[in-house]
Amino acid sequence: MIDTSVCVHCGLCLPACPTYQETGMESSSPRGRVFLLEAIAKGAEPSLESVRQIDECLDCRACEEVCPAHVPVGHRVDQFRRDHPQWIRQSGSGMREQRVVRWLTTPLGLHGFHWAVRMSQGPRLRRLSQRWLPLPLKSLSRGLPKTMPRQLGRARWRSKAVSEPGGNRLVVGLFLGCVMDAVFATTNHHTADLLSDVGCIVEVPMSQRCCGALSFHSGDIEQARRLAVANIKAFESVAEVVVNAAGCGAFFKEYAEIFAESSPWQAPAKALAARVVDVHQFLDDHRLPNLDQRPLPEARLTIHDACHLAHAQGIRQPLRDLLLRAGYQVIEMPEADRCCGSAGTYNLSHPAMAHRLKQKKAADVPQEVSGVATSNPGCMLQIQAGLQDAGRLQRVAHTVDWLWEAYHGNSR
Amino acid sequence: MEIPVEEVLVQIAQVVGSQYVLRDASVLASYGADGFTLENVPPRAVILPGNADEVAETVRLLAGAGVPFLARGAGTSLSGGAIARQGAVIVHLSRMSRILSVDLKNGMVECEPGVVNRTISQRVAPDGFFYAPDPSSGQACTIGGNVAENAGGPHCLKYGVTANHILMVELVLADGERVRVGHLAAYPDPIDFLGLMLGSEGTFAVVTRVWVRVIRIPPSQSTVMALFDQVAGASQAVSAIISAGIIPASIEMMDQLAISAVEQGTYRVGYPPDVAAVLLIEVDGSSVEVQSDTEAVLAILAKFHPRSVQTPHSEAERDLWWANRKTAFGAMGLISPRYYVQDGVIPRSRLPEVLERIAAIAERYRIRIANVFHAGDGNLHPLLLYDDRDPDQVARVIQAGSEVLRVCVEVGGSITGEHGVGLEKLQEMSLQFSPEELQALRGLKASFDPQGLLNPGKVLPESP
Repeated sequence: MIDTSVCVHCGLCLPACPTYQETGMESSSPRGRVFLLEAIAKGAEPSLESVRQIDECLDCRACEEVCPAHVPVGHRVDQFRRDHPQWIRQSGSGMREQRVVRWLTTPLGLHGFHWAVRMSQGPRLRRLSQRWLPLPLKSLSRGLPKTMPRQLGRARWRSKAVSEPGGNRLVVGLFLGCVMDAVFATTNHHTADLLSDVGCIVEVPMSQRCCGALSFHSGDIEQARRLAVANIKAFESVAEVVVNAAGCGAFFKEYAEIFAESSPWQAPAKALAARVVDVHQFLDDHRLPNLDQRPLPEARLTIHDACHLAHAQGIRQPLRDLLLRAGYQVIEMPEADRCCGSAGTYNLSHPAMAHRLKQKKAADVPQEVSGVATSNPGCMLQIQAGLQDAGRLQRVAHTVDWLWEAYHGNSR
Repeated sequence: MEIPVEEVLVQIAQVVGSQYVLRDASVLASYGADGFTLENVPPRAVILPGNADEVAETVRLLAGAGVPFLARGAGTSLSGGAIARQGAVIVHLSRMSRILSVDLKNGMVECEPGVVNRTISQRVAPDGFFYAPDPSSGQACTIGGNVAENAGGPHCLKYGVTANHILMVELVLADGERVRVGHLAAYPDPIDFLGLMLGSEGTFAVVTRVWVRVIRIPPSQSTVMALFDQVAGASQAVSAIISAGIIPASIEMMDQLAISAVEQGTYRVGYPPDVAAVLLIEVDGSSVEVQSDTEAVLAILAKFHPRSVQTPHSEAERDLWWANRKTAFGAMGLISPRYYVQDGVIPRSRLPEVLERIAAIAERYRIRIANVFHAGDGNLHPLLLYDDRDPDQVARVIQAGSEVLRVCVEVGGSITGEHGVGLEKLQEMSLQFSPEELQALRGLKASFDPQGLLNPGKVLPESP
């Protein structure tokens, strides 16, 4: 049981919570959720309405970041979902996606997903899908990139080499992710290129799997553990593991929490967590060349801070420093670290709230920027879809993609 | 007479939208308390109006049926001001959170009541302005609640409290009538109705719009941190600074127990664990003024043998010092399951003596008391730590709290500086006011709220 007893109900978390901002209801605020969870822990039978309000938590961690006593509300809600799947089901959301997630996190499922998404981008299927897909998926599919290259996982499998070996260069492992590699494989290719630029040898272990966050958050802890073990083994030999998806990075860093204290995997999980580095942090520490004297054309970007990068990992400044060094101009949007509503599989399980947050985020993107930089595949899909819905033309891409364009693109 | 609440709520749902009338018992449980945790009473219902018209109509309907009610903002009250007593309905103003206009030529911002305190300063900061009253809960508390409680904060030492920064307020009276009190031109009425409303803790009317004064950010400022090995040294230094005629923007103090909590919290300064007290002193104004004041402060501090004195190396470090101080209450959760904070005010010259007496009270009642407070204006915040699962300890904490307030009144102070009376200090009201004075206050309340429906069970003890 994760402890909420350190919560003294001061209420400083309220304005940080996206769902409280939307509804204004105490019961959909972090403190309200703590009250409800405490009542349930004391034996009160919750109504479906209160379960729904608890379950409406995005797990964006904004409240955990501002809490003076770091009360883990997001973690606690997550645990509530795992402990009481029957209530979540009855309340009409949540666990439906568990089976999909389990399929998606197998290599075969992932390839299937990749090809399905790739096929669906053909003009005919695209039109068809816009007619037949359920509403939340329909909107999301509008956020998909127009062209998709092969997954890096497949490419590596064929060529065996992403970068040339040699010298005393630092060997880093590149984590590919599941949605990241299926939909945004370009970003993985770009990440590998930039890591080579700063002098690293990039290894892409073929036995790596999905990080397990999607399984864990949809209540499937067994699957999450299996995936974690696979990744612990896969990355055993590299000094550092570079992760470009914020959600995966945050989950890696908390790997130890999914194993019991007595589990033999506890120590290896901690060891891996300590070697995981977010790509922005890594590239900022290893210094890409400074290009800010030669500003790029169309160089104005805004940044959406992915929740699991900003709130969960406390990483904000490296993105800005990297983009500035690459010659971009950064125009901040209001509340850049407010959740876009994607939140793992939240946009599938809670389409209504996800939709409101998506619209709000799209409206916050300044008119004068040419693009949005962010750090998580879910956010990329969600914000692109939101902009598309609003008839806006700005492109959403991973910070790494924008950097790659500055260092490798044709514009120079 | 049984009040036909059901019927009224159905009518109100037609006004505000049915999704904005909360009835579900387990949802209402989340509204049972605010920042004050010694009492927990779920409201009969919660209504979330979207604009002032809906507030007026809601109040009219509730008053017509004789249903008691109270307004709530972010629920950060430390005196139980936003807890629904006597079967009251909560009118939650969180949806009314827009800044309606900004007029910097006249130094004025027009806000809905649910606007968060800090967002006003954030909004006008790019133009070099700020809203001065800065309660420690400023990241969450709302301007409507600030008006109701006449909120203070660290920087109120120099700039004054909420009452000094409110130009005009729009209110819904107990019968649903909408009125405005005060003037944008800031001249006083022959009868100061605005003054009456400020700090009335929601017992006279519901605030639906607020026009606040914003002022220029001072061109220069300087923050000094002083660590002391003796609490007495720190408190004597505070008295000495004030009596030297210096008016810093703020003088804040934390003692060892408080420091031990914030140093486990989210914003860690790195205070040595064995230090007895820390003073944060900020002076602002023109750069000449700031320089001479800082020098004077440093000279006075040196006389009281601080362990060390330093200034921040960067803006970020200064912000960290303040974030550390301002989140001290919330961080208490790290050293105790619950806390009960007192809010007494004393003449500053009595600071060393009163702190000693508070320490003696803690010892007598076998509880721990942490001190985090606005030393500069003598506004104490003893945090009485307790475990709510231990009824005996809860009883001792309540008694100890009352005794602290008795000491404050005895030395010529008052029972509240900025947190309000709420439901918490009802008994102690009679320490400070005579029966005749209390009766006069009841008369005043009745003239605004003859049915006694507004925020029942607060501020004024029942007449004997």
